[in-house]
Amino acid sequence: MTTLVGTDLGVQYGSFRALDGVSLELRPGHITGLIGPNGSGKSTLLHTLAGFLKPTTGRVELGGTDVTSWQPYRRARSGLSIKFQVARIYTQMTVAENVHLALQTGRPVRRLLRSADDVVDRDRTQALLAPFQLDDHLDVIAGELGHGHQQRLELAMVAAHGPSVLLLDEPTAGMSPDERRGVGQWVTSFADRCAVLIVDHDLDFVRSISTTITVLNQGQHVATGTPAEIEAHPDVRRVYLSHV
Amino acid sequence: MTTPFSSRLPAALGRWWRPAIVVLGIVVLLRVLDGPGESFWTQVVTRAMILVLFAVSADLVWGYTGVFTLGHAIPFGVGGYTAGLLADRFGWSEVLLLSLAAAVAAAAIGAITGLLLFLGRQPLTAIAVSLTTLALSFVAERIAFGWSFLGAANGLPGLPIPTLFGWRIEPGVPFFIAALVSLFVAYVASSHLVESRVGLVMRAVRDDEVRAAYLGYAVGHIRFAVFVASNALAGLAGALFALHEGFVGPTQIGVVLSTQVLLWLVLGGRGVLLGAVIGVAIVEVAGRGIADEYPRQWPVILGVVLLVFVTALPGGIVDGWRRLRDRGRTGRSSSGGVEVASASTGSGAS
Ligand SMILES: Nc1ncnc2c1ncn2[C@@H]1O[C@H](COP(=O)(O)OP(=O)(O)OP(=O)(O)O)[C@@H](O)[C@H]1O
Ligand SMILES: [Mg+2]
Repeated sequence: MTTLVGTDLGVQYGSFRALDGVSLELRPGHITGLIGPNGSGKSTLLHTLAGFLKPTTGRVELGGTDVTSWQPYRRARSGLSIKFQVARIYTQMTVAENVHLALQTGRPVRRLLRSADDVVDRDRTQALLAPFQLDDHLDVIAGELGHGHQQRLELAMVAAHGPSVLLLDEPTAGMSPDERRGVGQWVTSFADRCAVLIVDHDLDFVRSISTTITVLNQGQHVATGTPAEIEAHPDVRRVYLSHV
Repeated sequence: MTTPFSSRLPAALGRWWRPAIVVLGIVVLLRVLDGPGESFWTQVVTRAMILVLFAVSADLVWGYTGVFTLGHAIPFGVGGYTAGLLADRFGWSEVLLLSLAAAVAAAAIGAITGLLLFLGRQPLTAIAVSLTTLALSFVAERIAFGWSFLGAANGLPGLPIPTLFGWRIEPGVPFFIAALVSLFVAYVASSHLVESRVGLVMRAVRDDEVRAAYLGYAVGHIRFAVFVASNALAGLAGALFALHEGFVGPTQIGVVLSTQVLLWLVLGGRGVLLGAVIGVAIVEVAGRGIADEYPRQWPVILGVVLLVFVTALPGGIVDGWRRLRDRGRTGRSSSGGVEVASASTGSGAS
């Protein structure tokens, strides 16, 4: 069971403070929703937790270990996984190859040099893609998929990696309400093995799946609480009223 | 890919019959071009095969892991000088030992450079990697020029003819066979590598190193390993080249050769091993006639051709040919049911 803790995180872009002393704790079995207006620093926070950005202040702990100076691949090997706001998939490879890449990490090179794994992995790949309705697109070049499909392919890759901490940056952007509900169900089912942080602009969606919600505004922490508490929070109302 | 073992052998034969016919055709052509007792064209093709070996090694680094190295002549030259020194000063003649020593020396140099490029605490940016390798190539050339032990500007001329188990490998048919065998082995091994799951990881590192890292791949380690292996291969090519020419000099380690190998890959196509073969064939064999006929205009012609390729055909000849072939097959390329994004992604690694 792995907990991800960010303490007093600050990020500076030149003279602009994108993140200012934000703390956050992600526990296994919990889904934390992260909301805030455009440019409030949500992606910056995710990138900092993931190690894609180095914080200027604060630290990140993964399962009790200080990982602030760890490179991304080490965090990934310790169970961290991230879905980026703009899907990062391999557009020149097939859907199956994308998933294979996520499945085969940690396998010894000697095994990777043999092609026999293809047979074994095909069934697993299909099973992993099924929740995202991609299981009959195994041999399609990922770049030829539509936007929503690309997002879901990245989710399938992230799932294949078998994370214990999962960071999702707007996973349902550009999806229909139906697709969104599907992703919501998948996230919920995934969360009993895993600590999840999810960013989304659809507040009803976030409220429906999160156990905890954190609100950011202009790089600063505004409030953290249950969906009901957040809804009633005067500061949160102010943030959203002034922006919407 | 998913064939059971029993049917793999015929499949492998099916893959190699076309190259085999091409080689046979070249051999016949060489017998016609070179009269009895002559070996001019045989040597031209031998030289080209050795350069293909070199180009394949560069493609592994640039075409498959996305490292734009401007110093790939370094391992080539280190291999050449290693073989040259051992043959000239220490009297080694066994070609297998000379090649092995050259490959080991080049790999060692590659390991030192690779450590600097890929295994630092903070990984270097792509630009920094290119500039560093460029600077190193320049330094290597200067050292070769200045150091009398390496023959300075004259290099090491008059290298003795190597032997294989006591049998003399003369430039001409014997060296042609030796180069062909080396190239065949290296090419088959490389294509097995790039088509395996390891090759998939290499392309993943090339196409998006951030995604690769978040899937748990140690991008720096992978690039380091491929870089060292590729340097060893380049060292082997450098040794064969030096032994074939009977000469090794500063041009074989310098900036010009470092860029030339990239040029072959731009023309032929990178990220596809056949591109190395085609690039070298065009510039070093077909282009040779033009270069001899119009020595002054040749660099300009080459420059213009290069410009056309970089702008109009960034994937090189192999990619262009594949597109032409695929255009004839459109209509059933995209299967039903998938929404097809309007923007098609261009090919080519940066
Ligand atoms: N590389 C960068 N350089 C400079 N400023 C940046 C950079 N990346 C982000 N910013 C700024 O930092 C602020 C926070 O950006 P961030 O992407 O974290 O916001 P966000 O909450 O994810 O917004 P959105 O809802 O639009 O995705 C924004 O004002 C943005 O313009
Ligand atoms: Mg964002």
